Amino acid sequence: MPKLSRRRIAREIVQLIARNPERQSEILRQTAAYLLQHKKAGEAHLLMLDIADELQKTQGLMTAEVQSAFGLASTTRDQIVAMLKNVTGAQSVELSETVQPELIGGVVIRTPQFELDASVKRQLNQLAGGIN
Amino acid sequence: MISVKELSNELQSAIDQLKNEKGLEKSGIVTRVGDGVAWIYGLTDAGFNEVLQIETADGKTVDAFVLNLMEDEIGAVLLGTDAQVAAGARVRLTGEVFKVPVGPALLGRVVDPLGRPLDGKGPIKTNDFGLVERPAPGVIDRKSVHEPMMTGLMAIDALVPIGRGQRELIIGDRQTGKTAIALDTMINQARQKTGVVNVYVAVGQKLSKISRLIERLKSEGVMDQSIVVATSPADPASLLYLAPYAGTAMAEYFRDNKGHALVIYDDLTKHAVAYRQMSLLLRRPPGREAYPGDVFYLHSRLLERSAKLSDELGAGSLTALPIIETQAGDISAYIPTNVISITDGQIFLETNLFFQGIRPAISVGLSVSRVGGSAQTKAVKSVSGSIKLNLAQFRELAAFTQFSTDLDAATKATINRGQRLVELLKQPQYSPMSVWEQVAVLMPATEGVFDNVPVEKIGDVTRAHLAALWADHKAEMKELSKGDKPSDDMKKLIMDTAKKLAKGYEG
Repeated sequence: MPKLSRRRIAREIVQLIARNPERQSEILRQTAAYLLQHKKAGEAHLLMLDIADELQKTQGLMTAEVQSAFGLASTTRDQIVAMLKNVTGAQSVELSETVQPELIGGVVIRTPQFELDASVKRQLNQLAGGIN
Repeated sequence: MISVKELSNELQSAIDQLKNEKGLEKSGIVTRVGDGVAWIYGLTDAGFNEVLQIETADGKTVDAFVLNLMEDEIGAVLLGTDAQVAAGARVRLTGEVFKVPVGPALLGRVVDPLGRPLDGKGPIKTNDFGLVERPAPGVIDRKSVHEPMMTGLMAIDALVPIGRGQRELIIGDRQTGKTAIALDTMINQARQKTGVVNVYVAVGQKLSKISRLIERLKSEGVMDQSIVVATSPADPASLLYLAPYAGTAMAEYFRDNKGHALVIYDDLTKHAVAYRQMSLLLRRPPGREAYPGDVFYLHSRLLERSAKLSDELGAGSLTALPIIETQAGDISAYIPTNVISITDGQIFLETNLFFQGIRPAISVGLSVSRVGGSAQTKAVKSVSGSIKLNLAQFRELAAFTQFSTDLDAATKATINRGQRLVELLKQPQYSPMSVWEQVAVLMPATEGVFDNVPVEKIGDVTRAHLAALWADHKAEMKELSKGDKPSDDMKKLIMDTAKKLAKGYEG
């Protein structure tokens, strides 16, 4: 059986679910079986990233992870969503938030293919690298 | 009124501003890393050979460059130790391919393939950068090789002359004097004040050897016009792979700025092995002897950058002396045959000649220069015409030397002449000969003046001959060193001096 690329699998899954949303559980179970059969269960998280990327390209549905040193205010959250919609052309943005005090300040926004690292930690690292 | 200049400035300013804005950046994730290779998810826009920056746990970055572009992941070769890189690390594109610092600021320096100084003399201060991978000059951009690149080694300059812009391979087993030839060529550029810049690329050479070579360059006063790109066997294969290309980029600066450069790759066998290691770790399908299928292209694209440029482009040149190490003298092996087919000739060094005391141990029969006489100094060309034939005839008859009493006069004469020519072509290391010295030695030898001098005294008589000419006719010898064909008076002067001296050495 020819080897299928993960991106192609992701594309197929998104198309199948879009056409048959009621078969979502069955499609995902078959995907799990495929991954286990081909000993690729460890790549499940990468497949999810590919699916997220495919959803963004085909249906404008974006998932993004936001890390911040402190919790996000609702206005900040709305601004981030608006910015992501504006820059990427996404129609809808699903945000997940985590608090990481080691960032010191600022935010890090990650989508499957992009990253915006406006944290104080990165700026300090870059300064340190420039000095060295 | 609309000003084009204003529009252009404003556009450029807008471009610069946007470039500096830190917006959404493409980023990927290291999924696995090991043996100097990082496999990365994402970065679907990455280009071949593009430089990546991998963030380490302590916030620093490690550079890598893309060599495998696949649908699901990319394979990037690390330029530092993979101990600093962990799975899950973030990776960013730089949008650039590899560049190294180039320019006169590198002269006298010892650097690694990334242009970082290794000699402890401080940072390299230059604003110029050259692309490590770059297309070779096209056909129209070139001129035929017509200027000599004197090595100072009589056996080479007379029999397999090298020209500026030529690629001449030095090939032989280990410990046959390959690096010695390259080193003497570099020394000769300083001695003869040719203005040629030397770039010595050490690919996986022992640090002790590199150190000795640098010391020798310094003691001979050559280091000031040389650049050394050094990699040792302890360096990652990625650096060994990049070293020749980086050295070429540094040499190209001089070629492209109306100068002349000589680049020595020591050696390309280790370069091919490093590339094989990288390719196997990148899971590329192995071919013959486990080398990847593009191992020919590895060297062909490197060596094609050595060229003589046209007058319109400044008439600069880049001459290459790649070195290949053979096993048991097998020049029909894979990598040697590849490089032989790329270069414009080869100098083949034989182990048995070396141990017979014939040094440089050049096999005259197997060595060739495809550029030939068009790159030879007229003076040397005028006296070296018959040497190759004499030596070829001698080799044919060499087996009969044990039957000296049973041979006819013509055969004896051929053997006689051949033995003396072989003795004549021996030359100590670090003693390159100038044009006048080579002409002064070859002319009487090919005319038979030394035929009655015992073989073991050939060295003495030639030294005495040169000393006498320099002492009594310095001005004429300096004139001869300019390279023009010697006049009849000059020939008579040299021959008379030689004949007079030879009488005192004849047995």
